[in-house]
Order: sequence, then C-alpha cells, then structure tokens
Amino acid sequence: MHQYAARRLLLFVPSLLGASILIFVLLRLVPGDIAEILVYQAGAESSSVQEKHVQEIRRELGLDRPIAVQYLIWLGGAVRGDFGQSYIQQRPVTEILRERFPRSLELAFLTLVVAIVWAVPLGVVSAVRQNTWADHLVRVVSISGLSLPIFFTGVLILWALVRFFRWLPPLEFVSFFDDPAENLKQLIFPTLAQAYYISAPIMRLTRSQMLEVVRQDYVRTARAKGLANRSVVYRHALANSLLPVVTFVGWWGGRLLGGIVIMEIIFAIPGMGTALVQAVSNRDYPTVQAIVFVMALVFLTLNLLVDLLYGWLDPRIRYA
Amino acid sequence: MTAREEIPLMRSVLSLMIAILTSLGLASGASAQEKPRPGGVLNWYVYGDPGRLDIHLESPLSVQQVLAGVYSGLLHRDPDDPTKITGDLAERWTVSPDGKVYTFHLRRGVKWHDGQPFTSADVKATLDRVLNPATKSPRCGSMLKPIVASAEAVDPLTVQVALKFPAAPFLEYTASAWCAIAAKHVLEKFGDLSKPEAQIGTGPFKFKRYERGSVIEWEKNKDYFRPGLPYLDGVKQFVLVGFPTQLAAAKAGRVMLWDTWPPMKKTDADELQRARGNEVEIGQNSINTIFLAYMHTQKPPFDNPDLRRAVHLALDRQEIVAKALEGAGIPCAVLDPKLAGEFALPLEEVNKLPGCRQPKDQDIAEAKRLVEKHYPNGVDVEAAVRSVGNYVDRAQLVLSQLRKIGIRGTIKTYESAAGFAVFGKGDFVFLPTQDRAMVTVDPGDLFSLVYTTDAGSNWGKWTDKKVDELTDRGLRETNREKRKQIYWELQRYLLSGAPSAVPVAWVEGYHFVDKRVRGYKFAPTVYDNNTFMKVWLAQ
Amino acid sequence: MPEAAERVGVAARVTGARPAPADKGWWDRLRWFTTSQPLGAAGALIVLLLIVTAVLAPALAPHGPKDAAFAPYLAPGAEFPMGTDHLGRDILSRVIWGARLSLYVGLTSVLFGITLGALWGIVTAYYGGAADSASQRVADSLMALPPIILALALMAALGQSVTNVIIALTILLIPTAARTLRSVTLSIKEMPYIEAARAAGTSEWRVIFWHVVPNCLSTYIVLFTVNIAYAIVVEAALAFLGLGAPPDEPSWGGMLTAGTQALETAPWMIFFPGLAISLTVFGLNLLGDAIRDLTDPRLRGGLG
Repeated sequence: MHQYAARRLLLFVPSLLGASILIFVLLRLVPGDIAEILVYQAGAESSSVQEKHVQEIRRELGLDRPIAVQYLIWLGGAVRGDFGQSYIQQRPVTEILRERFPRSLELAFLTLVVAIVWAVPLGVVSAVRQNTWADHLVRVVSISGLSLPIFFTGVLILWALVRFFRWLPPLEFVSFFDDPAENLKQLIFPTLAQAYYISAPIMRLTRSQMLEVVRQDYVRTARAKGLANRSVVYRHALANSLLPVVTFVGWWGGRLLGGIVIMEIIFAIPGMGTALVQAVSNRDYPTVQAIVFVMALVFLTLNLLVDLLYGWLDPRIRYA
Repeated sequence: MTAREEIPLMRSVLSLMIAILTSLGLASGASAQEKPRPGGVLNWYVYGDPGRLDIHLESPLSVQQVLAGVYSGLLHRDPDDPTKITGDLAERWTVSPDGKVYTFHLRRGVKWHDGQPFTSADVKATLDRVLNPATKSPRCGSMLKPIVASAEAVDPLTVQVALKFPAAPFLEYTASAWCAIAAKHVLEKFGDLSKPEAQIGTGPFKFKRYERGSVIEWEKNKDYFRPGLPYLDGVKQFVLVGFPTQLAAAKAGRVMLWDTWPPMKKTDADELQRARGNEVEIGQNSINTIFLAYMHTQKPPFDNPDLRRAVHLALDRQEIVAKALEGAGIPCAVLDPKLAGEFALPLEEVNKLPGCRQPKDQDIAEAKRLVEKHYPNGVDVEAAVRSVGNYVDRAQLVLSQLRKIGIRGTIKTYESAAGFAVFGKGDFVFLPTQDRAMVTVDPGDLFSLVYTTDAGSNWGKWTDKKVDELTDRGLRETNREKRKQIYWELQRYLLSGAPSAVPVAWVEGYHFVDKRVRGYKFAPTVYDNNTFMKVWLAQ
Repeated sequence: MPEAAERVGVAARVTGARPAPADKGWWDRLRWFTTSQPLGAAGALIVLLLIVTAVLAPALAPHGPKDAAFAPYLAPGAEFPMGTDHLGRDILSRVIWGARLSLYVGLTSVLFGITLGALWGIVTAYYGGAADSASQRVADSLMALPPIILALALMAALGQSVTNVIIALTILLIPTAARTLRSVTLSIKEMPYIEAARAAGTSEWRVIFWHVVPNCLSTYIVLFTVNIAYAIVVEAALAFLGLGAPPDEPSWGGMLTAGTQALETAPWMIFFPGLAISLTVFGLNLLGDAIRDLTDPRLRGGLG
C-alpha cells in the first residue's frame, strides 16, 4: 500500500508541472502583454515614445527574458510558495489566493452538496423503478438541467428575481463567518443553478450503479432471505453503489472550481473565477498562473485521494 | 377627442416638457430650491475592478471613478454647472500678460485626510511627478507635458506654472479630474499611489474600504475645506462586471445612478423605466466619445488616398446611427457641437458635405468609381474588430455599406485587450469601428490624439503636414475667434480629404438618476464631476 | 494503473435491457427500440430533426442569417414567425442556420476530439510501458486545467473564429476520450481472443484495428453523442464570455448572449435559440443515455 501511494504521489508532480507549463505557454501565445495593453489602451502618449514605454515596462517586469527563463524563475518561487507580485493588484499573489480561494471553495462545496442531496435519491428512485414513468420523469428532469447553458439559467434567475420580487441577492460579498445569513443569501441562487446543471451526471451514475448492484448475488441473497425490498435497496445496494459515485463527485469537485466562473460573474461574487477572468484580460500573468496552478492542484489532489481510497478498499487495483 | 385619448397625449406633452426642462438643466434647478438634507449613503457601481489606484499612472475610467471624491484638483468642473471650470484648491488665479505664466493662489487651511496641512509644495510635487517623462502618466501627463515647462512654489499658498508657450487648453487640462493633486508626503512615503493605503486626498470623501472585486467605499470627510459639504455620509460603488448584473441592480433599485461605462442602450432604458416607473429620471447624454473607422495608410489598398476617400463617401452615417446606435449619436461630425460648442463646424454645413449628405446615391456612385479606377473587380479587406459591446454589430453594418462600392470586408475579431495591442502596433488593414473617448472637451484633443503624425492613437500611421500645422496652431492660438477659424478649417479639411480615421459619429448613451438623488449633474466628459460633493439624498 | 476518472468508466458487461431481436427486420428493431427506450427514441427523433434542419438550412431559411435587412425587435408574427433581433435579422433564419453551425461545430470537434483521443487512449493502453505513463501525464495536465479556462485561453490565443472554436473544443475533448478509451482497452487487452490473435502471429496494428477498436465502438458512440451536446453548451458559454464564434455568425450561444441584453424588450430573442439549444442538448443526451443503457449502463458520459 505504501509503495502504491508513493508511486501515485510521484506521478502527481509531473502532471502538475505539465499543467503549469501548459498555461504558461498558452498565456504567452495570447496576443498582447500587459505593457502593450497599458500603453496602447490609453493611446495618449505620442506614438514615438509608446514603443519605448512598452520596452521599459517589459524590462521592469522581466518580460523581456526568454520564456524558459521566465518559467524557471516562476517555478523557483512557486515551490517556495511565492507566486510573485500581481501586476494589477500590486500585492503578492498568495494574498489574492488566500482571499479568493475560500469563497470559490464555499460555492463549489455548496453546489456539490446540493447536487448530491438532490441527485442521489433521484438516481435511486430511477433505478428501483427502472423503465417506469417515474424513471422517465426523473431522467427528463435531470437531463433538462444539462440542456440550458449555465449563464442563461443565471441571467434568467437574476431577471426573474427582480421582475417578480424586486429583489436581488446582495451585491457586496460578506464572508460566511461574518454574517452567515447574508452570505447564504448571496450564494443560494448560483448554488442552485450550478447544482441543477451538474446533477444530471450524478443522477445518471447513481442509477446505473444501482442497476448493476441490484443484480449482484449478495443482493439477490439478501432478498431471498426475505429482507424487505426497501431495506435491501437502502442497506445493501445503495451502500455498495455509492463508492463510484463518491469517486466521481470527487473528480467533479476539482473541475467545479473552474466551472463556477460564470456564476461568480453574474452574481457578483469576488472569487477565484472573477479574479482569473480579470487577470486574463489584463494579462496579469503571475495571477493567472497561480490561480490555474491552485485549481490544477486541487483537481489532482482530489484525484489522488480518490485513487488512494480505492487502492485501500480494493487491493487488486494496486497490482493492476 | 374623448377624455380617454387625452391622457396619453397629456402624458407625452408632459414628458416632452420634462425632457426640454432637463436638457436645459431646469428640472434639477427646481429641486435646488429645496434645502439639501445631509446624511445617507449613495450606491452605484463600477464596471470593473480598478486594481491599481494611481490616478496619475492609470487610464481606465474605473480608476478615476473610484477615486473621484477622494481628491481635489487645482481647478475642477463646477459641480453646479459642469460645462464651466472653476477653482477647487486654487481660490483664484492670474495670467501673465504674455500668457505664459499662470499664478494660482491656494485655499487657506486645507488639510489632507491624514491631518497634514496642504501647501504649494504638494502642487509642485504633483506637477513635477506628472511632467516627469519617467512617470509615464498617460492622462494628466500626456496632456500637460507638451505645454508646461515647469512649476514653482512661490510661497506656501502660491504656485506658478510656466508654460512653453501660451497654450489655449491649459486651464481645461488642469481642471481634468485626472490632474488630481496628491500629497507630497504620501508620494514620498509610498513611492506611488497604487495601493489603497496611499489614497490620501483633500476631497470631500475619504477612501474608506476597498474590498477587491466587490466594493469600494468612501466616507464623509468631516474636515472638508468647503464648509457644510459633502451632504452624503458616504458613497458605495459595487464592482459589477456583467451587463445583466448591472441592469438587474439598477432595476432592483440597488444602484441609484448610471453615469459610467457602458451607457445603457435604448432598450435597457425602456426596461428600466418599466421596472422603476417614475422613481428614476432617464436621459440621453453625450459621453464625449467619437466612433471612428481606421484605415492603415501604409498598407494596400488604403495606402491609396482614393480608396480612403471612397470609404468616407460611401459610409451612410445616418443609417449607422439609426441602427447600430439606436439613434443616439451625431452622425459625421468631426467635433460635436454639444461638447465643443462653437468650435464645432455647424451641423448644417457638415450635413451638406459629400459623404455626410443624404441621399447617398451620388456619393456612392462617386465612391464606386474611385474603387473601380484602381480595383475593377473590387477588393477584399480584412476588417479587425475588438469583440466588445456592439462593435461587431456596428462593423457588420459598415461592411454591408462598403460592399456596395466593391470593398468586400471579412470580420476578424479580437479579444478586447488583444485588439489594443494589435492595433497599437499597426497590425491591421481596416478597423470598421473603434471608439475614442476624449479626456476633456477642448476642441484640439481629437486632432492631437488621432490625426497628427505623432498622435498616440494615429494607428493608421497617417501623415499630413497641414493637419500637423493646423493642430499646432490651434494649441497655441489664444484668441477664441481665430482659434475657431483654425478648427473649422481643420474639420473641413478632414471631411473633404482622405484621412486614416474616418469620423462616423459622436456617440451618446442613456443614463439614469434615481429621483432621490439630488444635485447630480452630468459632466461633458465621463471622467469629471463624480465627486458627489454637492449631491444629497431626498427622503 | 487505473485512476478515478477511468475507473468510473471501466466497462462492466451488464445490460439492463432486453436483448435486441437479432433476426427481425429493421421495422421490428425500431419498434423494439421505441418501446424499450421511449426516451431514447424521443431523443433520436429530435436529433433527426436537427440533422434534417441543418442539411436543408439553405432551403428552409426564408432569409440570409446575416441579413440585417428588417426593422429591429419585431415581435413574432406572420412575416417573421420568430421575430427579428436587435439588428433586424430574421430569427427563424438564424435559428435554422444555427442548427447547421451548431451541428458543424459539435460534430467536427467531437469527431476530431473523440477520435484522436480514442486512438491515443487505445494505442498507449495497448502498448503500455513508459510511453503510456508519459502520455497519461500529458492527459492529466490537460485535464487538470479547468475546461472553461482552457477554452478561454485557447480562444484568446487563437483568435475568434468558428474554426478556432472547433480547435479549442477538440483539445478539450481529447484527454477525456483518451482516458475513457484507455481503460476500456486495458480490460479488452486481457481478453482471451486478443491473446489468441497475438499468439497466431497477427501484427500488432492488425490486432489493434481488427480486434481492439471494434470492441471500443460502443463506448466511442456514447462518448460521441453526449459530447456533441457538451460541445454545443461550451460554445454557448464561450459566447457569453465574449470569446465564442464571431457574433455575426448564427450560433445559438451567440444569439442567446445577444438575447440576454434585451430580455424584456424582445424575449423572443432568447426564447427561440434557447429552445433550440435545450431541445438539441436534451435530445442528444437522451439518445446517448439510451445507447449507454443498451450497451453498458456503467459508462460515464461526457461533461469532462
């Protein structure tokens, strides 16, 4: 087991490095850097000095060096937990992460909880009543959540709240620890919208897991022993089919941090997503790199944990 | 006529009257008779997170907007009548007989927000800072550098500014909200003004809180040098990035004011009106922004003046304004009479010139002839467009008009910031639409920003000796009548020639003010008069 | 070494549906499909409708999708059944042409993305070893970047065009497909008939294409169907963030985004493209689910 864990951990590092290199290179392929944007957007200095200003700003920020050197400098800092200084916010990027990460995490966490609470029971119902109208209804409802682009659901919610209730979630972000009620008022609608969107795959997986487990021998045995159908379903089948669902949710949770960008924008939540979009449009490289790095880290860590959990529960996998 | 029909008629007459009164500034004049009520917090929004807060180093409106009430200038736009310029920190000023030396006499007893006394040394430090080429000050610096030689503190309450020559727009430039006066001791302590802690001004409000990406809060400066002001206890600006969110906030009454970028469209204004009814006052305002179409003068086909002329002749500005701007704009004008006043060539004359006149048939025929002369089978061009706002919609309209004369454009869109970087370097052939906001209403600004050889936004790399010379003369001419003649000549020259940047329209937009908000006046530029020093909230 | 993402996708050969009548005609097969998978049949019908609309777009659309030739914001009526948009374009025509564009974007990106990913997954899994391990790290790295962020960065780097949307989506889909197909291949590899083929001296490539690939087909088809829907939705999200197909293109996502700017003035501007997207995505998902049910209930779908 230790050996397996160590090996998995070893593979974790190149994946993370790969992700950081990818975003580093990709960012620099986007036309325009911060120097050009600052100078040309204002467009006010005489054209003869604009080019000079661009060069000066690049030199100040070290953008005139070869990209490999820039990456190594960044990496050198990152391994020591120093992600550099944000160009736009003029403060250490770690400070930005510390401020924004918990907010996005909260939204992602709430979304997952709501999605699970809603989708798992539906999946069970759907499986138990396979091919009945209940099954069809549940599947139609859950798949319809996938069918609308998430921004559209968000905008519609916003519009309907104003139109019918003349009410809008708070525009000023308040931390959960300062004022839980105010905080939840702000997060409830983006949570519901996003949860509805991601519940379909969870429901789908619960359903198919249940269908499979229900047919397995020990469930049949339990049934044959005369256990009530209900008890069989909940005690035996559900417990055994939930593991892959948990796996999947863990895997999805990692992706969600990036996915909530649009909800953050529409509901004015100053999380990592809004910071990231702003940083991309300003070419604030250190901020983008750090945020994407953290998102990748979360994703890979969750993946790793899920793998280790699996390896621990099912020894066969370690030797596969 | 039955009584039933009278009501809508009455209503439309009434709304017309209100519209006229508002445009004359009379409607708010009536409310000025009420006694201002102190207290309350005004809420509005800023369209993006400002990030760096150095008012001298940054150029986005968001930075100006979140700092406006914190600082004072030597001069400013009169909050009671923003078309006029009056003293702010300067009580009065005199001009030397040769017009080259301005002496500003400063107010006594002004304190910085940290309690330190304000003196002429602060004014000198500010001017030295923005005039220093190493500072790279894009707004105040780029305006003052060409005309100001030096600034000296004569005594603690007197500052002398020496100009390089008697420059006509000097007072206009000095009054810009971008030329805010910063404290010498703060500059020395922080090095620059980027950080929230460095926001120490002499303005009516103190910079209280900056929750990044969420809210910017000001609180009343109890030691403000104008006794009794400000009326408000504070101002809150929410950072709202998405347009649907901005509109929803306005409709829900969470923001009391919309005088920022982007302006509302007609449909948004209607929607807001339906939601808020008579709680809000909606108006159409100029945003001191010109819609230009750029052609690169060193790349085919627009290196040929005939082709540039053809584009000018073919563009149907009236249609563009009607469709792409929903009627909110002044077609074809090089200068907008509402902003530049008498310096603008009268619209009656503009609208008779080839290219601007209606109907278009004759001009289109001529344009077609010009294109066919060089490209018998027409010509294909790539049209670069930043994908912001309704730029792509506008571009499509422009291209559909040019197709009639054999110029076939295909749109290539750029992400907003990427567009600036690419255009600034001149990597384009044709830009069907690009807005350029003016920082002041001085008539010379447009020419020195867009049309002279060395202009910062002369992206099409156009060189014309006559334009350079006239622009320079306009800058130096202090006689108002002579100056007017110079700019009229320039405008006629551009409209009859083949410049790189074709004026399409001056853009206007819809704004609103919650009726509880009293004493707010729209300034002729988006950057000015956002201090809220005389604004108050009715019950 | 299997990992979370692929384990969920590991094929288990249990089917919940009755076996198809193998010896009957196509009509019976159809009847059997509609009765055993009514939702899937509904999905198939929607998809069929979409394909027909897309193919016949030039004939069906009364006007050009980019013709801003009419009055703006006209409500749906006899002349314009779906009304006109803010530029005076006929929405019906744009929705019809949008079917073609969405299908084109969805199909090509999924075709390239899933096929390349599948080949990558199958080949690396088959050979295994260091190349497999290295390629897994590349897939990991790609998947570790949040998809919408990756798409955003790609679009900003490539520039906005329909082709670039397809490229971005393709890159997004490749690792997901590679992962899933890799795990399927790993289990197929252990099957006795593969061993037998190898023992008989069949060339490696022949084994891959004649024995492994056909066995991955059902997985491939499900991934294919569901991810077309995914591609359409991601394209719409990109449009909202201002980095989708150019706004003049009749993309449903772009139309929806434009519609959110006139929610009350012209609700038809969002209603019809919204309906088109939901129906399509809905139909594709139903169809995908049905295929999954018929082949392998455990297979996880798109939404990488």
